[in-house]
This record gives sequence, structure tokens and C-alpha cells, in this order.
Amino acid sequence: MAQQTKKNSTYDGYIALASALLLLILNLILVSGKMPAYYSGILGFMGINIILAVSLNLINGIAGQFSLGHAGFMAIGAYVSALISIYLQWPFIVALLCGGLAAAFIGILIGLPTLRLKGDYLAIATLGLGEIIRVVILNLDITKGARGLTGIPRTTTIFWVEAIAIITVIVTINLMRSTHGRALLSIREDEIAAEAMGINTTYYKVFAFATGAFFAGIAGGLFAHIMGYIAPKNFDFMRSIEILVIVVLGGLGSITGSIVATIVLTVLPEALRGFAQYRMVLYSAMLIMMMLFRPQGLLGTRELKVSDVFKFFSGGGERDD
Amino acid sequence: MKKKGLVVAIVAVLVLTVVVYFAFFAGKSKQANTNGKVVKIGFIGPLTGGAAAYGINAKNGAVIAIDEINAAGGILDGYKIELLIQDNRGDTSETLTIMNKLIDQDKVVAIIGPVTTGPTTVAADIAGQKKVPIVSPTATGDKITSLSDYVTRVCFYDSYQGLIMGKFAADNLGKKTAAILFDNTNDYSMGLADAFARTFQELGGTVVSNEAFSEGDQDFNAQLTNIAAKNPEVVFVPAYYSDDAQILLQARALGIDAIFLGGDGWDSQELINGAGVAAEGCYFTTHYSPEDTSEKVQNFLIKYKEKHQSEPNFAAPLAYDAALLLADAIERAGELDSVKINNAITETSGLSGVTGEFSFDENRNPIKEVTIATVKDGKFALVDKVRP
Repeated sequence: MAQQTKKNSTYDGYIALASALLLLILNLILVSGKMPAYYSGILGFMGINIILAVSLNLINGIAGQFSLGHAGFMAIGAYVSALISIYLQWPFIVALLCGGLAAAFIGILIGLPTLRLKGDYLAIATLGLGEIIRVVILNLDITKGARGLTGIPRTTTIFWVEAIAIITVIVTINLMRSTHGRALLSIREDEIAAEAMGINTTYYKVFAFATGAFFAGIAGGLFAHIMGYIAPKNFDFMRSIEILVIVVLGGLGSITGSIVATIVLTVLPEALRGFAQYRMVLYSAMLIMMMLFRPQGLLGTRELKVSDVFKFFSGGGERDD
Repeated sequence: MKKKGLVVAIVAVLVLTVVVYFAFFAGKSKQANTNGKVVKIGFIGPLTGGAAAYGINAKNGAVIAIDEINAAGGILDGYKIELLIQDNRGDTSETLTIMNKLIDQDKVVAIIGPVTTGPTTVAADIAGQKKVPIVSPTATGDKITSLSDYVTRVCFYDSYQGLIMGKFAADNLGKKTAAILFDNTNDYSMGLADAFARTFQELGGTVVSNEAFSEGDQDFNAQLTNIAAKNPEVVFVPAYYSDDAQILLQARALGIDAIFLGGDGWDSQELINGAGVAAEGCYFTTHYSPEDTSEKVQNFLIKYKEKHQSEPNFAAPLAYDAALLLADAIERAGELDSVKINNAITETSGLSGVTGEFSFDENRNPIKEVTIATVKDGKFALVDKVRP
């Protein structure tokens, strides 16, 4: 009986999730034209951060490979798609895809040697990778170096951002529940045991790395087309750290945790704007407090289910259905 | 129960949407009521982060100007100026959000800032799109004013400084050979170096050595040895003061006794603190000199020290002038219409501020004198004020 109910509620959860998302998209289409740029701008950055956080979570949280080079992949996606838009004038979505694919390609290229490293060593190697990408961009002629790239068409709308964010989340969640996802989880839990069970760890690790890089590249493309101007400074080490903070705060391995944390961390600095220069102090203090009282992140490795929300609204969790 | 859950989810999303809609409308109607006799002007600058020294100085300078204007009765027959100050941390995405907020939510008629070139590039786009003028006190990047018709600046641009220094080296100092040592990871440094080389060569000089370094380098001996081998009469180093101090010390240690020249990146007490006697006799271009005995400069310095208990850097008088320029333009526009204000800014001529007398060229860059300063007996000293 319990088994049956559980199955039902997951299924039901899916339907509810899908309808809610559909409604949300419809709303966004309706609202996007009328919404003041201030709000749509914040929503846009929020969506981009969700894509970045969820894709980093795939590498750091689900596959358990500690990467610090996410801004590098974002930079590749941003520059490739921006250059395509400027020089070739290909459609926006094609430019985005090319940016994502370029990032994924570099991810595979670099993942193969570096993913043989573990823990701290991998973290340092990926940190170096992010910096290499940034310095290469800084010294290439086509990227205009430190001057930054101007004149990128500002075609990103919140509809695009939110739609791609939703796709990213759906893909990642489905991936987590697939054979690939289970292989990744087993690598995270115990790599040696996973290998002993016949899992090709290198393949799966590189797979996670490339998928994460792909979505980071897409996010970079969206970012470039929302700003209209990108410079290597946008993709420095601090950007990688910002994304990592979101993932850790939401809970390593929890997709919904990443989403909740992104929303909190994007809205928080705006809400604190009234405090002028003390804003970032308050922001940092809140981060420290959260880490002190919830070191496992907001949601730990749990996922927030739609049914949890129903339970909350329909009289706490007492009802045993 | 399951069906109910689904309904709850859909209703929740609908309610959320309604709430969001209302939030927008409520926000709009609130704005309409607070118009009174107040002119809202925005300020965007890095009050925190790496460039905070410039951002805070710029903010202080703008506040002094606006307090003065308000104390003298405001503008347009009794309108008081309200300065809405926003911190962008020197970040471009933050700047985008703030620009939207100031224009859409706060309904400012014009904006002072951003302070640095990167954020100004982003702001320029939005200013043009929404037709709200921005006046940057200190963004020196060559291209920014050509990005949109709604961007003006009160500082001179990078190549202008290189041009002035090239002319100064060739004509005033009468030198024939020059070496250049610049930061090739920095837009500002590259702009100055190019313009210097071009002007110096046009005026009959020869650039005997062109050496580059990267941001964060500490050891310049390799480049300086190359320069020493060519024995130039002057060395142009368009970089920031921390690099400049190191370069000067290492150059003197290698026995290079050429005259060192630089741009406004040199203008910091830290240069003298770091380089000591090695800085003696160097020349650099800058926006104003605190040693200038003119009444405007001295009055500003007294006011600044009184109010903020510290010495201003060049961002403060430039932001002061930016605020003066805006107030003057609003007065001449005769009404609070952003497009008319922007036209009035463009037509400004002969406005006298702390950093000189302003008019604007067709790209809304100021035409004003550049200050050339030197280091003498461990102190900055004013050499000359030149027009191109």
C-alpha cells in the first residue's frame, strides 16, 4: 500500500509540476512585454544563475567532482555566441547552442586529463583551467582583450531565460534518475566501489563535466545577450565562487536546493539595497549564519517536492496518505 | 486529495502572478505622487570593491556640488535636487540592474556615473535606449561616448592624454627618442600608449622601444633592460601608481636616467610613498592639480576637507563638475525633460568648473585643458595647463 501511494504521489507531482511550469511560461510570455526592465532584469539574472547553479550541481553535487572552473565554461559560451551574433548574424538560439557546444567540447578536452585527479587536486586544476580560459580571451584579438566585446545584440528576454532554465532543470532531474545519474551517484558515494561494479568512471565523470559545461555555456550566451557587453572581468575566479556559493548553500546534490538558493541570493542583495554600502556586509553575514546553522545547505541532499508544498498548505505533514 | 493538490498548485501560481502584477502597478502609482518640487538625479559608482577609492570620492564630490546648488535655492525656480546614490561594486551586471531601477522605478531625469569604463559601456546602451542622459565623471575609455547619444563625460579620454603627453615630450621637453612600457592587459594603458606613439612620431620623434607587461607583474627588469640598451631620452609608462612605483625603482636601479612620463594613473600619493626619490622629475598628465592656486580649486579643496576630513583624489572634482554640468543643463533646458536636458548638455559652452572650462566636441567629450604635473622635493607640483 505504502509503495503504491508513493508511486502515485510522484506521478501526481510530475503532472502538477508540468502544469505549474506551463502556467508559469504562459505568464512570463504575457508579462514580459509589460514588466518594468528592473524586474525583468533581475528575473533574467536569476534564471541565468539557476542554469549555472544547476549545471554546477551536476558536476559538484551529483557526480561529486569538485570543480572551480565554471566561469571559464560560461566565458566560452558567452564569447562564442556573442561573436557568432556579431559577425555571422545567425539566429539567437543557434548562437546559444554553438556557445554551449563549444563549452562542452572544451569540457571534454579538459575533462579527460583533469578528471583523473581527485578532491583538492581536481579543484586546483579546474581553478587553473578557468583562469587559462580567461587569460586566453584577454589576449586574443577577436575577443578585443581587456577592452571587452561591445555591440552584442540584446536579444535575451526573460522568456528565453526562464524557458531554458526550466529545460535545464528538467534535463538534470531526469538525468539524475537515469542509468547515467545512478552511475554518477555511485561515483560520488565511492569511486572504487563503483569501478569494482563495472562502471566506466572516466566516461561518466567526463559526461557530467561536459553536460555541466554545455549548460554553463548556454548561460554564458544568455548573459552576453542580456548585457550587450562582455569583458573577461565578468568571468573571473569570483564568478566561479559565486556559483559555488549558491550550490553549497542550496545543498550539494539537491537541484531544488540550488534553485531556492539562487532565488534567495539574487533577491537578497536587491532587497538589501536600502542599506547602501553595508549591503554586502549584511549579505556576507547572512551567508555565514546560514552555513553555521545549516552546514549541509538549505535542503541538504533532499529535493523539494510539489507534494511537500501541498502538505504544508493542507495542514502540516501529519496526514498520512 | 490528489486532485485537490493539483488545483492548489495551479491556484497558487495564478495568485502569485496576480500578486506580481499588483506589485508593479502599486509601484507605479506610488511614484507618481512623490513629484513635488524635487528633481531626481541618480548616481552610480563603486562604493565597495576594488575601485571604491574613486567611487567614494566621486560620490562625495557630487554631494558637495548638489548641496551647494540646493543651498543657493535649487534650480528651475525652487526645484531641489535629490541625489539617489547607488553602489554598483564596479560590476557590469549590477550596473544594468541599477540603471533600470533608477530610470524605471525612481524616474530620475539624468544620472551621474558610472565611474569606471566597463560599467559605463553597459549603462551607455540603456541610456540611449531609454533616452536618459548619463554623465560619467571619470570613465576615460575612448569609445564610450560614441556608443550612444546620451553619454557625456567630464574627464578627458585615454588617447587625448597620450596625445598631450606625446606633444609635451616632443615640443616642451624637446626630446627625440622615447621608449614605451605599457600594460597589455589593460585597455586604458594600451589607449594611452598608442596615442603617445602616434603623436610623438608625427612631431618628429622616434619610438626606439615598445615593451609590454601584464597586470600583476612585479618584476620589470627584462623589459627595462631592453629599454636601457636603446638609451631613450624619455620613457612613457601609462600604468597605475602601484606598477609605476615598482617600475621607477627598478629602472633607477638599472641606471636608466631618462625622464619618465605617465598619465592620470600616476596621480596618487602612493606613487611618491612607493617610489621615493626615484619619482623626482617625472611628468604626468592629470585632471587637476591641488597645487593649482585658482580660487575654484582651493575653495573646493577646503570644502571637501571640511566635510569629509580627507584629501580628495581626482574623481571628486570631476564628479563635482559633472553635477554642475547637469544642473546647468537642466536650468537651460527649462523643464524636466530628459531629451531636452541631453541636448542642453551637448550645447554647454564655457561652463567653468574645478577641473577647467568646459565645452564639448561632437562626440560629447569635453574640450578643456589638461594639467601636467611633476614630482618635486617629494611633492606633486603643477607644471602647466595645456590645450591641444
